[in-house]
Amino acid sequence: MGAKRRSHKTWKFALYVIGDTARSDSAISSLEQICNSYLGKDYAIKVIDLLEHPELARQHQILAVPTVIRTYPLPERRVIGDLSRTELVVAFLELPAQQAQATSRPEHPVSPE
Amino acid sequence: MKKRREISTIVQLPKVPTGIEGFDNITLGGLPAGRITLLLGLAGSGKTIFGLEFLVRGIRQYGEPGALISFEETEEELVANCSSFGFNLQELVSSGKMAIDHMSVNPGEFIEAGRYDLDGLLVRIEHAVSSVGARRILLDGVPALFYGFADASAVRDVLVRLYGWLKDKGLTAVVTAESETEMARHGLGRSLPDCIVLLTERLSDNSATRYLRMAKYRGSSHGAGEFPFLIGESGISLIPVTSIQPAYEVSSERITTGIPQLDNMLGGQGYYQGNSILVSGEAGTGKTSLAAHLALASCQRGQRCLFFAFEESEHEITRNMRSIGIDFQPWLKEGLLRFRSSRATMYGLEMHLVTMEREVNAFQPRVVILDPVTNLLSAGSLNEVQVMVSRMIDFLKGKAITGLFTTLTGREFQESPGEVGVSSLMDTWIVLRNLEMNGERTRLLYIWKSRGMAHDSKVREFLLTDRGVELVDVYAGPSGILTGTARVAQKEKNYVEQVRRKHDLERQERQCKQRRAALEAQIAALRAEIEATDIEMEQTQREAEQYEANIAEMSLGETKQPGRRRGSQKKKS
Repeated sequence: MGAKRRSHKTWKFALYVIGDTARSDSAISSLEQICNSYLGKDYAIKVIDLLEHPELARQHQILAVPTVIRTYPLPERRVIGDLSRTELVVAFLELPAQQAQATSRPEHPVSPE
Repeated sequence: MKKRREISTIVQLPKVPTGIEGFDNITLGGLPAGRITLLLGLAGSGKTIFGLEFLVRGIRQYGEPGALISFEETEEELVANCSSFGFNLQELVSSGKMAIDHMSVNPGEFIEAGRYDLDGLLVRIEHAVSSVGARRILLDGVPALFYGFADASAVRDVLVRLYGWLKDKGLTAVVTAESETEMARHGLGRSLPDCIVLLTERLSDNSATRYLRMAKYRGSSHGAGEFPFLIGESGISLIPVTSIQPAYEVSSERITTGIPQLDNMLGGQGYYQGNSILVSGEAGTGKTSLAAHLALASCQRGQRCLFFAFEESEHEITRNMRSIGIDFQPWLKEGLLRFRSSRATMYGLEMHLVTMEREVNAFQPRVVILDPVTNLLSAGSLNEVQVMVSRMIDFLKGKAITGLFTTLTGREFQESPGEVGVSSLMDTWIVLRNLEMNGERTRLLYIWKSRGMAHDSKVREFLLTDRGVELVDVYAGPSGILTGTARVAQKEKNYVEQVRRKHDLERQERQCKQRRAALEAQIAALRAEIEATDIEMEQTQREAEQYEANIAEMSLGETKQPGRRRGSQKKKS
């Protein structure tokens, strides 16, 4: 479980996956790249493997994997899929736009399945 | 419908009893064990209740823990809905017998940004199953997944893997969906489940009736056709005609019909306690009166009687029966008699049945009367009424309650649906008929059948007097049976003839006597004549002797007196 912590205004994400699959990996790396691009270092990602914590799937209503939940700032926002459609992720998670200028249309090569 | 289905001798797949009243009968054991059953029905058809009952009864009656996976209702909603059937889901969950997981499938809650699968579903189901060691599982509202996720292939994929996993685990599963086409559209058609149960609800004349049909049962015989079912206070129940298993305590106790002559016709002792009796007849043949006699007799024995009237009100019946000398008032006061009047059209058949069962359970009667069941035809089709009546018979027999059902028949009673096709289920069938003859209507009664007793099959005339029903032997003459005035006239004619003949005989006897007396008188007269003649003759002889003696005296002189005497003596001797 990778975790980067900042004391205040830190964006928090929970990423639910099942097992160490290629799709899990690509989702993790996509999320990290997007966060790096839009949030700098001001974010924390918690990766949860449901095989290890099956009860959390029920608790957090997870059906599809991977699922990303923006746990902070509220309200909670959810995105499912391997996050290959970056523009949707950015828009729906309402990531701040200013950092976006630094990287011109970030395309994150992910290992094909 | 009437024939009992023969149970196939083919080796049947192992089955899991649902515990749902009647369902295990029509499926000859329940749902296929370790297989998937697809339960199809629109919203409100009762499929969730069916599934829940399958789980709850599995836990309570068969000791099999269950998992409830709901795609539509939340856990709170399920718990609330179930409490009305006496299923305490929370208790089952807290005792570790049941796992509930509500799969929230709301597309508004997330966006899809890339490829995904639904393995989270598998993880959750696996977790629910293993947490309680479930042997039964209900997947309620599975197609919701297709509306929640845009990637239909991901849904199909997870469902196929789920079904495979369920089969591998040997779980007996019930999967609900609204329709087969809905499932088929998503590539989950007929071939997947081993058993398909179809629930429908139909409105007829403003009353809804639910039906269950076995659309498919791989490797098993099952009851065909549609079976009406009820959702009552204790869940679903369907008791089809075909699966009636007479496992009741059979009573040999007899109860009076309330009419001594009718008791005589029924082997001298009346009905059997706990039997079902059909009284069929046209309008005004006295069906209610016959029922009233049974009710009265029951009360007089101190046994409660419950009278369901679908035609007349309590007041109408009590007033009408008073006119034939039956007073219900004291028994109503004493609480031995209870009337329940309802319009047949007031509610659907299932509601009628549920209400009646409730009333019977509350009042605990020994005799129940339904008058007339044919009125219920306005609340349902003939077939539905048949099923309802047979269900009622079954219910009453199970409680050893004597049930009397009246049916209204048309003029040609054989062709009419009046018997509601239930006569074969009845133990005793009494037929009442109107007879028109010589411009007069009379009532006839005969016993069509009566199981387990020697009964009189002769036709009787049925009289309604101010002292109740009386049965009279009818006159059977060369021109058929005679009733009413004709019977009375015939009787009178016979009497007159008898009297006349008697008179004739007496007259003849008298004449003979007179003749004999006359002859005797003649004899006496002749005798008298003979006597008179004898006397005359004697006198004549004496005179003749006198004459001779006089002559002799004259010739011998006066001194020869003795000689004369001698001589006369001589002559005489």
